[in-house]
Amino acid sequence: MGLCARKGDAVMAYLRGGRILRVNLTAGKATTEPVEPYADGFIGGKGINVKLLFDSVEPAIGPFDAGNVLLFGAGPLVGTPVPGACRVDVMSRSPVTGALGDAGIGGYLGAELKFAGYDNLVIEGKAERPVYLSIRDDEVEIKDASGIWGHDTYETPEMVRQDLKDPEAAVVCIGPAGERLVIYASIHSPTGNAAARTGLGAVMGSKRLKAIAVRGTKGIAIARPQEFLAACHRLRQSITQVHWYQDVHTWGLTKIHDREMRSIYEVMGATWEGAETICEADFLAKYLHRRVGCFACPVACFDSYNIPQAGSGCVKCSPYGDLTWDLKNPDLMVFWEAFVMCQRYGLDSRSLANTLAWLMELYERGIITAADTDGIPMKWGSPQAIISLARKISYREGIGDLLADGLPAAAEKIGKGAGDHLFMAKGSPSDVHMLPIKTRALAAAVSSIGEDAQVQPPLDFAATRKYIRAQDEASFQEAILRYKDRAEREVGIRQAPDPRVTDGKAAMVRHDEERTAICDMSGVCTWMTPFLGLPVDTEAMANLMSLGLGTTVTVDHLTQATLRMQHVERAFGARLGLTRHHDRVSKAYYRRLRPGDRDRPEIGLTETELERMKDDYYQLLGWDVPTGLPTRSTLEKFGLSDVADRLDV
Amino acid sequence: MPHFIAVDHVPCTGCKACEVVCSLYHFGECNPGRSAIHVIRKERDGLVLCLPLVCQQCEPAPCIEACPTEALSRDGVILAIDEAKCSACGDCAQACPAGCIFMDSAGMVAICCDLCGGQPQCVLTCHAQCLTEVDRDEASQKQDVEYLASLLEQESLWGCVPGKVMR
Repeated sequence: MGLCARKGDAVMAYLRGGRILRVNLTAGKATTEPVEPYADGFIGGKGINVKLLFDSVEPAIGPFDAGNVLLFGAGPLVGTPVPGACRVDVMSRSPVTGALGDAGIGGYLGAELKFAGYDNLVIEGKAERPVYLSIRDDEVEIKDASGIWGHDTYETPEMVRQDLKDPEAAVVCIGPAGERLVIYASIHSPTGNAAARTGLGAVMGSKRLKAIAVRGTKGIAIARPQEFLAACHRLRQSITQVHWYQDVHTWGLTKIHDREMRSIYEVMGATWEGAETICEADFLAKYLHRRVGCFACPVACFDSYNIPQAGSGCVKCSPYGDLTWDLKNPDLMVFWEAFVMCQRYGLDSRSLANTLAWLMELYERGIITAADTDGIPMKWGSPQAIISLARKISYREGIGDLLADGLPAAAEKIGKGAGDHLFMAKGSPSDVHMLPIKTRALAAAVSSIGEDAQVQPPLDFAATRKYIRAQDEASFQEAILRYKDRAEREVGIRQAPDPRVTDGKAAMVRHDEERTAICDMSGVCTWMTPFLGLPVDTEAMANLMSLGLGTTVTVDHLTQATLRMQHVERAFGARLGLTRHHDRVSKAYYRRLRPGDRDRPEIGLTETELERMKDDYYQLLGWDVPTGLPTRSTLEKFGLSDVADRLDV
Repeated sequence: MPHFIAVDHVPCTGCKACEVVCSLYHFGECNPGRSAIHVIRKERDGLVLCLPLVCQQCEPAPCIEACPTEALSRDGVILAIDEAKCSACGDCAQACPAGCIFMDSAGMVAICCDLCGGQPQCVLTCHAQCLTEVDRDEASQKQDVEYLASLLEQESLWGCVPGKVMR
């Protein structure tokens, strides 16, 4: 029924690979089961992953235990020509948060998984020796990787493909950082994509799984192919007509990101001498090798560079700013060199930047000295500090060994109040430039994974900028008129964008969570959505699923499914003992905004305000307000009485 | 006037949307293994080189000459295949200087570009403008099968050409 319509008597289901593949590395065995029981309620991708995780990982099982699972989920639209339909949700119990670990990866893995006849891949157990997994349609093999172990994420795919004699298999792998269980190691494609956050590369390393190679030739059945194709063409046409499209197609996100970083630092009042010289667009104009994109993506947001001495690779968006602005480093070539190292070693470059920013703050305050960091002074912007730590952390050399266990652990070891300067939520560090305004702080506090760069309600940030520039209240109100109109339309609360009030902030966070959740379930990149003005919204996705499946999928069905997913996500944390008390941001979050060198506490947040917004948020989700736990009645309303039973509520 | 789809590989971002729309249009499913266009993605050192391969509608056509069962012919100006006659021997792909004819992963038959009967879906889909439908007479020297073959040679991509790997 519903979201898993069958094609005649054939095994293959419309829009689906049709099967979940379970590979147990301890037993060396692979089995399959139909995806159908999960498809209607959880849609696909992250939705199905959450339920599989909840059902299979008991609270006693730690992130690096054999009992932990590593999940890959490709949603129903992945593998089709829907713009940006490439995303794979990767999930596990995380060594960073200790609870949920979740990250998305684009590229070509998802499409190949679907073509091979799988929607979800479950990795269980732990191999005795290094292995890699080869999936070629029904042929699933666990292969020896002892000769590949130790190689970086550029060399590994090439070695795997040679071993398989298949030059075009989609490969994802871990690098030296994942092998050494650096807790913020990531899983990489060969061309810049990564399941970067929450330490999923370390989980893969703990299973001694070096790489996964997939090749599929089965295809995905579409119920109404010509209409589906026409709908894809229409979406592509309208994407190319969006006013900034040509700009992005030429400049990637560099121009947008240049402006974004300047705005953020203006609101933070934290700009520094030399920052004005950072220009990503100039860097791109000088060094761009070519534009690179994910499967079925008309935007192609990756910039690739091939710079002698500094290295080659693909990058988009955030790392440019993380490794320059946030570290007071004006030199984009240092960013590039460090970024390529992160790529090769399989380290999350954002987490590296978060670590460096923290150490540099500690050094400036005299909490640490060069003696604490192997003789390297952690001076703001120091190229030596940036480059050497990329290596040290990935290989656990010297101070890197401590930092590789995560920042809360390092703070404890360092003492002297070092932890007070950690900018993080749920044990996961945040970017310096993640604005501590009300929606962002609430989103980070209530998220299962701490700061989630995908959830960024745009309206109050835009309104904050107007606020700090406004001459008086009347001109401010005038300036945010259209944000208020939009808020009224989207969440029904007109004053929600006003940065000073808590009203409507929870609703805006939930609205943005819903947008990203539908993407994470269907497998479409969130950048195709109205967030950046592109047309792939929930209605478009419901329409595409309807045409693909040959049965009607409503917007309401998808929206309900996002809530169902969030309830199970919450229940997974709850079983590990997480409650309202854990939904908070670290001390360093508060009172960081000084636009124009003036204290403007009203645009930041206080602990009282955060608690008030949490009340609103739990009420919206139908959770128990005092504890933040999902209630039995809510769970039952969503058909989750099995979850309520296990949660014992 | 013989039409064909000219390839400019430089702006190609390697997204493979052309492959899936081809299979969707012709077979009602999304399957790069059942497509008349194939995008080579050669990933190396963190970079990727992309090259779409699609029939260049050569005249004379080495594939037609090589076919031992006379399954290939010209239907007016466009290459056509008689599936009943095709034995999927792969001689056509071998004969094509750039391997621009492919075997259907779902059946024992070759797949060749029919220009979608007038409006090639891949051209419509390509956001990077790598694919253009042109008349043979207007085509520059750069736009032909020998040019594609020279790129395959120059970038050592023969191992990525499906028809050449098979043998």
